[in-house]
Amino acid sequence: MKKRELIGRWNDVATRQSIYRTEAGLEIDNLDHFEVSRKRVFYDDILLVTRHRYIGPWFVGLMLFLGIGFASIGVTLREKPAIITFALIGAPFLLTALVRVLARVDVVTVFGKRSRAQMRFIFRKAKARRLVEEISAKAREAQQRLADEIRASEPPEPPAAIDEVPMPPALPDEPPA
Amino acid sequence: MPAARISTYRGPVCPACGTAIDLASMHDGEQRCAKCHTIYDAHVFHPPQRSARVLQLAHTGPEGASSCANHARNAAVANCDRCGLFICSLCEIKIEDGTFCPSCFDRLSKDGRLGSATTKFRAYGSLAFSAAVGSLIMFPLTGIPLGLLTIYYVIKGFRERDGASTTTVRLIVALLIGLVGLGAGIYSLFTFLVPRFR
Repeated sequence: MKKRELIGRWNDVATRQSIYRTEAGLEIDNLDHFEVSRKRVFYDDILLVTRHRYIGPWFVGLMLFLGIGFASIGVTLREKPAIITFALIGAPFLLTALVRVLARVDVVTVFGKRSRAQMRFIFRKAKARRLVEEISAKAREAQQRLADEIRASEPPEPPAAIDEVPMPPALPDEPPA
Repeated sequence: MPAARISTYRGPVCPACGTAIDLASMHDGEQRCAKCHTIYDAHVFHPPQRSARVLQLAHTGPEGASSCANHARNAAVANCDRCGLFICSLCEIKIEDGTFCPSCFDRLSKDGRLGSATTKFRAYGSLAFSAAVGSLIMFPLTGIPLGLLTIYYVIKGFRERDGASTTTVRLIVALLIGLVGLGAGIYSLFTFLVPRFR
C-alpha cells in the first residue's frame, strides 16, 4: 500500500474534503455521508498553484450576529448576573469574528488538468507557504522528468535526404589501340 | 449504457471568485483578479503533453508484429494481463496492477478489483461513529446490536485504514463509545431479565 500523508482539509457547510500527499501527486478524499470518493491531481498534470487570503464575510457576519445577539439579550434583561452570563456566552463568537478578521484564512489551491485540490489554513500560515513551495517544486521536477522521457522516446531524426548522389570518378579514356 | 460522467471542473479559475483565467498570459508571482481584485500568489506550469505513438502494421510488416485486436491496422505492443488479447498503444492501459485492455479494465474497475483505480470507498470511520452513538443513545434497545456493529466497522476500518480517510483517533473513539453502548445494553438486558427468573 502506498504511503499517504494528510496535508490539509477543506470543510464547509456542504463539503468535507481531506487532501493527502502521495508520491505521484495529491489525493482528494471527498466524504459524502458514508462513502468516500477520491480524485487525484498528479504532479505532472499541475497547471497552477495559488495561495490567497480571505476573511469570509458570511462567517464573520454570523459570528457578529450571534455575539451581539447574546450580548443584547443580556442587556435587555437589565440584571447584572444575566448581563455577565450572556456576555460570556456572546464573547467567544465576537472573539472568533475578531480573530478571523485579523488572521484571515490562507487558501492553497492546486489546479490540475482534470481536477483541483483546495486546502484551508486558519492559523498555520507558514505551513501554507511551505506547502505551496513543496508542491511547486515536486510539480516542476515531475514535469521535467516527463519532458525528458518524451524526448528520449522520440524516434531519431531520419538522415537528411541527399541532393546529389556522389558518382565514382570517371574512368580514364582508353588509349587508342 | 454506462452513465455519463459529469464534471464541473473547467480548468484554472480565480481561486477567490471562480472567474476563468487565461493561463497563457500568466506568470509566476503576485496576480490580481480582474473581477474580484483578490491578490494571490501564483506558480504557473506548462506540463508537457503525453502522446501515445501508434505503431502501424504497414510499417512493421505482418512478420514484424501482430495486429491489435481492436485496431486491425495497428501493431500490438502488449498483451492484456487478464485476457491475453493483443493490444496496441492506443488500447494499452498501464496501471500499478498491470497492463490491461479497455474492456478488462472496465470490468475489473467496476468490480473494485483494481486497487489503484478505485475511486469510491466505504467511510468506515463515519459508519463506526454513527453506530456507536446510536448504541449509546438508545442502549436499552439498540445497545447490543449497534455496539457489535461498531466493533465490526472498527475492525473493517482498521484493515482498510490506508484506503479511506478514516483516522485512527476517530476509530478508537468510536470503539470506546460502542463498547460503552454495548456494556450499557448488556447491563440493561440483565436488569430486565434477572428479576423475571428469580
